[in-house]
Formats: sequence, structure tokens, C-alpha cells
Amino acid sequence: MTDPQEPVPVSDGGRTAPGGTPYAVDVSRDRLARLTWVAFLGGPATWLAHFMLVYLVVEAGCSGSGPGLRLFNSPVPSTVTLVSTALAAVATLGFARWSYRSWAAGDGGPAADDATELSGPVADREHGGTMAFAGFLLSLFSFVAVLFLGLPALVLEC
Amino acid sequence: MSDAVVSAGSGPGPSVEKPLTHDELNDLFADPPGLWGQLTGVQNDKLGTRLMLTGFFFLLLGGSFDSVLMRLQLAVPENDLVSAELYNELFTNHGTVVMFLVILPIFEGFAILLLPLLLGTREMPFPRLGAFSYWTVLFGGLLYYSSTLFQLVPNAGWFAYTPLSGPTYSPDLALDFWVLGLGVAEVGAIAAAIEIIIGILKMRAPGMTLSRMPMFAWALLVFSFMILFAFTPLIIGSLLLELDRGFGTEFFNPAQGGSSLLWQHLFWIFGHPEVYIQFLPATGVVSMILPVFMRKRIVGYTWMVSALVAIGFLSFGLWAHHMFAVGLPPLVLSFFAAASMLIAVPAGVQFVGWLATIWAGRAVWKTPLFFVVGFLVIFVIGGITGVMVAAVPFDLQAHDSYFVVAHLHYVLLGGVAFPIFAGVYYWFPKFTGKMLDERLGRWNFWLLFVGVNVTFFPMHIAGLMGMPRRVYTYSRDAGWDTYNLISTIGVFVIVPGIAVFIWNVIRSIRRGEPAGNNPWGGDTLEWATTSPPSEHGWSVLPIVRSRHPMWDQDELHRGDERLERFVHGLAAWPLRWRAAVIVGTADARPQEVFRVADPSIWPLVTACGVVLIFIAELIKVRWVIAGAVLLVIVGAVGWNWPQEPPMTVEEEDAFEQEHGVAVNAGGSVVVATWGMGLGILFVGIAFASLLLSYFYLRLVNPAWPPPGIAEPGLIPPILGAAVLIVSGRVLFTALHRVRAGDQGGFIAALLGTLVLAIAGAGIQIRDLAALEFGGTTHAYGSIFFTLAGFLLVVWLAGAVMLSVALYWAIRGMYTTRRHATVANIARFWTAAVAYWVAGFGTLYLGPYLT
Repeated sequence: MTDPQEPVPVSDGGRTAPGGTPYAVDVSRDRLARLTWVAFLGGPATWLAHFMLVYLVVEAGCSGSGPGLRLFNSPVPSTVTLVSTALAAVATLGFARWSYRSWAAGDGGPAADDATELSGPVADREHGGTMAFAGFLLSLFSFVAVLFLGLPALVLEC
Repeated sequence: MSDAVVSAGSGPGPSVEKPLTHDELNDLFADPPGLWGQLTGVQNDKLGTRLMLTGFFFLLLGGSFDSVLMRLQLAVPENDLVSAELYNELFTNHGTVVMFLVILPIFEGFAILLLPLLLGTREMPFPRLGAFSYWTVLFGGLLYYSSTLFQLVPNAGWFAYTPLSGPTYSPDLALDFWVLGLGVAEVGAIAAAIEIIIGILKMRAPGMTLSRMPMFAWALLVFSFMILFAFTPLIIGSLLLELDRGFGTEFFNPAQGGSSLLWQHLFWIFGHPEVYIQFLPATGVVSMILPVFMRKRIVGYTWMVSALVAIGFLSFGLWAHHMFAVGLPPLVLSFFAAASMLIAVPAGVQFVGWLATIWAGRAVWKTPLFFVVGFLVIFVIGGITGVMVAAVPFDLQAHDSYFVVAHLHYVLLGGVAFPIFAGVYYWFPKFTGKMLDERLGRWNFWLLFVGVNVTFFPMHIAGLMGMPRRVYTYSRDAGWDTYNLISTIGVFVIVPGIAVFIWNVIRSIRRGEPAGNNPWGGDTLEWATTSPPSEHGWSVLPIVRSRHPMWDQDELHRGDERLERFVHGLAAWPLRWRAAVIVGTADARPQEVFRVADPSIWPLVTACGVVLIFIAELIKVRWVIAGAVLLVIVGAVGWNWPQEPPMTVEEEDAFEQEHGVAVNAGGSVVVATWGMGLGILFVGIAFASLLLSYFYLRLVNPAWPPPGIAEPGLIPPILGAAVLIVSGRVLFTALHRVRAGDQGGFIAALLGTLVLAIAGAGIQIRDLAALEFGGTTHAYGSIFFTLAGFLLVVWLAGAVMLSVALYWAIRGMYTTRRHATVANIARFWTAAVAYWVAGFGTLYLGPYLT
């Protein structure tokens, strides 16, 4: 909800063009929503990307017989698994840090999810709140999951 | 403005305002009366209830009858009540019906019925898509079940493993009923999932930020995304299986370069997430009911939301734990075992949250709470045995034994059926205005609780003693008879439990105790409305300031002054069309007022076209398929036929000037964009599934292409793709022209796009026709022509959209202000060209990568 007289930032989904004439296709721009989702889902998405990568490489190297798959012969599967595990672990920690800082950067007032907060703005704050903390939890869990998944490559070649 | 307001309230908590426009709005959102109304209806209460009843109908057919017969057969050793063949049909039907036609429609029904009330909005975003979804689920289920009329019941298990399900070992039409009937129902499931995702993300009450969303909405959001990602690979798998069965392709024939394991991968990429697809909404129901009956806010909301999302992701890394025994590399086994064990962590987080809520609360013992506690007890046993079978060495022992049967029934009955019963007891008063009988509810619960444990617990022991699954009888010497007899006795405790439930529903509808608005003292928005609710649910939209608005807010329509004016303004305006509100995804600020689609016969026509395609393939009268595709196209065009906006631009602007929220009386821009986005995602997942199939087949073939087939030439596909890329560029020129108000340039560019699209595809088709191999010579040819065919179908969809847009452009439908359709088509076309380049790039360059 914005004042009709106030210039509308392009990224705000509230209205569509200065002066109140909607450009139909621009309504859905919602930068805040996108950032919230990236911080929220970054950890588990990294886990899934890592999972698919190591699975496909190991499948190609350890059970594939197709042309050109010599490229994936041992020790490539375990090496790729370990290197990508290290990178994915760092990435999940990065998402955890981002989410944590977002959460901690809240203004110190009652969080938007606090059931006792009945006054104040309707919207979530840009920083902080449930989504950021959930992103933090998910990223930490993804960190553990990435390690749990990748570390067997220390002892298994294929 | 609704100055004259009466309270509609009864029961604890704030009540909704009932403005003088209430009845007018109710009529606007109601379906037409009579048979025509039944065929054209789109109202969410009607569709949701129908989906649930249809799911329950299939449960009685496939869940109950089959299981009773199977248990009677196994009650004593060497029994000859049913033959081996009939037993195969029974377990196939039982698994298939419950996994595809029961739990899914029931939860999608719950979602479509409940979400508008729960989220504080008037309708679902695409009511016609909801209707289409219902018809396809119903027709798909009936098509599948019609196999019994012809004595052609599928008998290859609910997973239909190849080669047993292939043309060699299942030559009659039984498996075609399985593939094609379920294919129709899967289309319906995906359609409903798209509707639910957009409904949750974009249609909530002002102020209901993501972090104030009820747990059930979170669960349904994850559930719907999972349907989209899991069902699409299954549709592709089913397509490949039907091509093998009906057209002679070689996808699953190892002698011709195919792989039977490819089917297992495609099936279980769907099959394991499917278990969590069923489980997650059930946990959402539990998280809604526990706080109300424990008089305590859910403990660890943020942790619970995180757990739902974590389960959603992890469930896609588990599929090969169904394949531990097929000979996968040890490192791959370790990946899937790790993921299978890890998923116990978020499930455990949810469990701790529920236990902590019980610990901190004060129980009000009503039937819904009994079922929730029953869920906790039974599900935890199923969860623990799940972690046991995640360990590869244990799984190799227990695989395909009754231990697994016990495990999955503890998970699905305890984890899913009990919450469904809890949910029905909890929300029945809201939608009927009558309470279900408590005494019968207790009987219902105890019979089911005792029956489930008596039936399934002994199966653990029988399984550990070595009893295999899917055997129609067993030897007297095996020592399994006592456990089997106990299991059979247990089923005869479950059956009266279900009968008591049915009687309770019938009895309560006729003479149940009247329910007020909020008989349980619930905390979420649906309890503010009347029981049963009006057709539109909300005249004045609520303003949400808490996660538990019924507990924390004194008034539901109080908030920021401008917001208050907005919700009251919308209650009195426009009253000529069905207005609903779109909000910002994260912040829940009103973003757009739009016209929700009204009742229409076209979803039914389109669904008939879809089912006709599958029936024509079933009976192998393939010329009918062309007519059916035409029917789908006609249906889709009629469905989306532009209507004259019921409001002028000036009237829209006046409302926007007053309230600061954009108005699109011609139809939503936002939900259409989201719908197109998810449509593109759906096509992308299907495309990715085909690409993975391509690479998998390449992986298992020592030569690619096989000996005797030359590498394809590169010039024609490059030329075709280049022309299509140019067509995409020209379409964006068309978009710029219409925005600039240049109608002539817009139409010319649109026409240019279409001509280039046809030229690009023509070059490619000419090259495909000249290739020296066909789709049936080897798996190489099969995947080559199937992927190419898929890309051409996507192209055809885009070309139809462009043609219809060109027609409407010539008729002057698109203006600087109203041209969202063109923008959406541009998005689709861009994606189609990208898929085309990636797909044909893989097909033509793949053979050179050696």
C-alpha cells in the first residue's frame, strides 16, 4: 500500500507505473520476495544440486559403459565427490551466514512472527523474521547433509 | 463502504463483518443451479468436496475390498480362495488405487476446499483449472477402473516394473489401462498443484505474511511443488512405457540398447517423493489440530516450517533406496542411504515440536485429538522401521519381505489416514454446520487404532521370519500362519471402524448437533466465518496481524488505516464481477484486484479431450487422437476466450487512485504470469526427464549411435534453431510495439514470429523425415524421435498460442494497457526455443561426444 502521490520504486509490487496507470506486465516485480526465497532455499537447493552432480558422475564413472566415459574412470568419481562436497559445504555455510546476518540485522523489536505483536506495520521487515531464521536452520542442516553424503568417498572409490 | 454491518459471529474469537452487500457477493460467486451448474461449476467448496468424496469412493473400492479379500486368502496357509492371478490383480489394484486415486485427491480436495477460508481470500486463483483437475482425476480413475469391466485388470504391481509390464510379458491391454488411466489422473494432480501453489503464494489476506501462514498452508505449498517435480517424470516414464507397448520402441528392452532400470529410476523419482507428498499435508493437519486441542501455540513454528521444506528437498534424493538390491555402485548406495537416514532428522524435528506442544498444553480430549495421538504412536513405529531399511545391509535382508509391508502401512495408515480422519472430524462442522457425533467418533478411533496395530504389527515378525511380499499363499511348514491369522483378524476390526465413520457422517449430516462458527475454539481464520460458509467466504477481507488471528485479534478488519479502507472498499465494490485480491509473496501487501474466472463448460470439454486421447490410444484407434487433440485445443481456446472487461480503464484507475492497489478487471496479470511460469517449469521438468533418459541410455550403450547408424548431419538443425531464435527476438519486438501503442507494427511482428516459427520447425521436420533410422530400430532411435517429438509438441503449443494471439491482435484486443497475454506467450515462446536448442543440440551433438 503506497500513497498515490509518492513515486513508486520499480521493484515494488504495489503499483505498476507512476501516475497510477498499470503496465500490466510489470505488476509482479517483487524483489523483496525473490531475495527472501533465495536466502530461504539456498542451502537445500545447494544440497540437491550437489546430490545430483555426485550421483550422475559416480553413475557415469562406476557403472557406465558408453563411449567417452573413460573420462569418468576411477579416481574421478571419488575426487569429484570430495571436491564438490567441500565446495557445497562452503556454499551452505555461506547461505547460513547470509540468513543469520539477515535475521540478526532485525531492529530488535518483536519479530513479525511474534504472536503478541498486534500493532505496527502489516508487512514483514525487510530483514529478520521467521523466513531468515528458517533459512539459517535449513542451511545448517544442508551443511551437515552435504558432508554426510560426500564423506563416504574418502573410503569408497566407486 | 459497509457502514451497515451486522455481526455474523457465534463462538469464541472475533467475528467477521457482514455488510449489506453480502448476499450480492454470495450470488456472484455461486455456481449456476441444476445440472448445468454441476457441469460448469468452479466454486471451490464444490470442487474440494467432490475431490475428497471421489478419493473416498476409490478408497472403498480399492483400499477396502481388495485388502479384505487378500487378507482372507492369506488367513490360513495353502488357501485356495483366490487364484494366484487374481491375487496379483488384487495387490496391483490395491497399491495403485491408494497411491494414485485416494490420498492425493483427498488432500487436493482439502486444499481447494479450505485454503480460501484459511488464507482469508474469496476464491482459488484458477477456478477453471480446479474444475479441469477434478474432471481429469475422475475420468482417469474411471478409465483405470473400467479395466475390471473387460476382465483386464493390471497385474504387474503398482510400480509396473519392466520387462514384466512390457509388451513381451504383458501383451494384453491390462497394463495399458494402468498407464493411460493413471496418466489422465496425473495430469489432473499436476493441474491442481499449480492452482494450490499460486493460491498460497499470491492469494492471502492482507497482512498474512509468509511467517504468519498456518502450518497447513506451508505443508500444502511444499506438497504441491513436490507433485510438480515428482509426477512429471512419471508422466514421461509412462509415455516411454506406452511407446514401448504400443509403438514398438525399445526404451526398456536391453537387447536393443534399452534398460529396464531406466523405468525403475523414472518410477521411483516419482515413487518415493510420492510417499512424502502424502505425508506432508497430513503433518500440516496435525500441526493445525494440536494447538487447538492443547490450547497452546505450536512449539517451534520456524523449525517446523524448516522441517517441511527440508523433507521436500531430501525426498528427491531417496529414490534409489527402492533399488538397493539391483546392483548399484557402492558409492551410489552410500549416497542414497545417507539421504534416507537424514530425512529422519526433519521428521524428528516435527515430532519434537508436536510432543513439546502436548507437553506444554492442556488437552481437550475430542475425536480429532484422539486421531492425532493415534497418528503419533503409529507413525513413530513406521518412521523407525524406515530408518532401519535405509541401512543397505538390513535392506538387503528385508527387501521385498512382509517387514516392508508392515513399515509402509504403519507410515501410510498412521502417518496419513489417521490425520485425514482427524481433519475430517475437525473441519466437518465448518462446511456442514453440523458436529460429528463424539461417541461414534471414539468408536471410530479405537476400532481403527486397535485394528491397524493388530493387522500390521505381526507383519514385522512374519517379514523377519522370511515371508516374501506378493505371494498368494504359503506353505504350512513356513511357520507364518499364526501371524497371518492375527493380521486377518485385525482387518475385521478395521472394517467396522470405517463403517462407523460412514454412519457418523450420514447421521450427522441429517441430524447432527448444530455447530457454531468456532466450535473448537480454533485459532485460524476459517473459524471466523459462518458454518457452512458463504460461497465467497469473505465479504470484508480480514487483516491479519498474528499467526493466530482468532486468539490474538479483537477484530478481524482492523489495521493500518489505508488497509482498512481498502478491505471495506472492496466489500462494496465492484459488485458486477468476481473481484479477488493478489498480495505480495513475502509481505502480503495488496498488489492487484482482479477478476476471478467464472463458471464454464470448457474445462469439462478440455478434460474430455484429454481422456479421449488416452482412450483412443488404449483401443488403438489412433486417428481419433488427432480429433481429441483438436478438442483439447478448442477447449483450451474457449476456456481462455477473452471477455470484455466489465469495467472501464477510468473506473479501474479511480479505485487505484483511492486505494493504491492496481485493478485488472480483464483478468489477473499476476496470477497469469505465475501460471505461465509454473507451466514453463512443468514443461522444463518433463524435458529434463527426457534428457536424463537420453543420457542414461547413452551411459549403458557401448556404442552411441549403435553400429550401422551414422552420426546425423549438423547443418539443418543449426539452421532450424537459428530461425526459431530469430522468431523469439521478433516476438519481443511485437511486445515492444504493443507497449508503444503501434498496432500495425505489433501485428506485423506477431505475424513475422509465426512465419519464422513455422519455417524453423519445417526445416527440422524435413531433416527428421530424411534420417535413415526410425524410432523402433534401437533405443538410440527411440529416444531420438521421442525427444524430437516432445520438442515439436511444445512448439505446437506455442504456435497455437501465437495463432490465437494473432487473431485477437487483428481484432484489436490488445492495447498498451491490456496485453498481458502477449507477454505470457513471449515467455512461453522464449522457453520453448531454449528447450528446442538444448534438446536438438543434445540429439545432434551427443553422438560426437566420444
